[in-house]
Amino acid sequence: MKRIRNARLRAGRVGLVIFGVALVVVSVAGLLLATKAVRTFGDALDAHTALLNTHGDRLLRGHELAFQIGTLVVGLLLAALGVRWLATHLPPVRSQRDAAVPNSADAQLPGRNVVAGSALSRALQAQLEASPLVRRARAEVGAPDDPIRLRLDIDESTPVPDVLSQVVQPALRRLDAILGREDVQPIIDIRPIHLTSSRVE
Amino acid sequence: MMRVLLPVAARLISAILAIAMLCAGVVLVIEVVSAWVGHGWVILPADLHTRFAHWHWDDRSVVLTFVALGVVGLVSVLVGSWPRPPLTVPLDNSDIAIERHPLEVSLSRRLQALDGVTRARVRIDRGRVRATVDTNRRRSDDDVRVAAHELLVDAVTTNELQLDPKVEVHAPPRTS
Repeated sequence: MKRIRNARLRAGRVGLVIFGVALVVVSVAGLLLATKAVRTFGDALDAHTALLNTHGDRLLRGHELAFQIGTLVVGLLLAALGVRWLATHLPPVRSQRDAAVPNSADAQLPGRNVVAGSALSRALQAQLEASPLVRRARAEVGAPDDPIRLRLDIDESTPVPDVLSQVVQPALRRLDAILGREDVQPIIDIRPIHLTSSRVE
Repeated sequence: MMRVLLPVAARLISAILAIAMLCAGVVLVIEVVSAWVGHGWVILPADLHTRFAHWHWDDRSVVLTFVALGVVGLVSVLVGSWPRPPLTVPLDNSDIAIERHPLEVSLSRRLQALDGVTRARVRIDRGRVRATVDTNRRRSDDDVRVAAHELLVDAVTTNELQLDPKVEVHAPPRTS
């Protein structure tokens, strides 16, 4: 859904800004030392000595284990953040959860009725697509308390509230009744499209 | 132009930076673990310590490295903080949203169907829908502006969108 992409893009942009600021800070500090505009940043970073001077070398050797552990932590953190950041570029996986249907016909009968989440979402999609106002529907049925996510391609000439009241709400009410669940507010992304005359008569 | 370029640039730069972070992290972990088990340097050059002890802050390669870091950082900050419209436009007080780009295309198509309109472009930003309409002067500019504004107001009202409509009319210059 675009809304998930929205959130991911926002996170990616925040990551870009943070990473960019860090690079600029390092760059400015290095250039201040390189141009000798600043003489030192502590004893270890001195514009008139090598990048690793005797102070820096002594510091490294004196706290070798601490620096190694610090480097390991930074390395693990960088790798984890890199993987997480890369993962935001992948399309979201639609996860369908199986649902337990209450045995309303005969409560004395033992056993459980479980309907596959993919079957539920396909049934919901089919019901939504049965309306001439909906060209395409995609549904994600999650855990019982989670909202159902819908993505609908609808006729652009029909007001969205009409599609919701005439098509979406009856379908969701039916699903809620079958699953015996409370009225859970859905999350819906809508795409208005131009339907051809052969579809709408 | 920026609407097309920026998302592509942002995705490209963030993917490259993410791969760079992952690689840097893996290299650091491998080198530390390798040092602990007594293998010495594995990926980075063995004389790295000596090199750092000889490079000076004003060496050309050092300065160029810092300049390159600064450029990459500035581009990242610029691309990351450049304002961009959201991918979806929410309806009033609900968890329902309309995808921005299809809505822009749909409104453009409906505006283009108005009498006197030769071309229409719609842009939706945060809280505002802005239409730029070209007219062929079969009707007066004001008539076209009013008709386009009414269409946008109708679309915003009936779909319960939190957008403020604005219309700009472009007409060809009058010939004497």
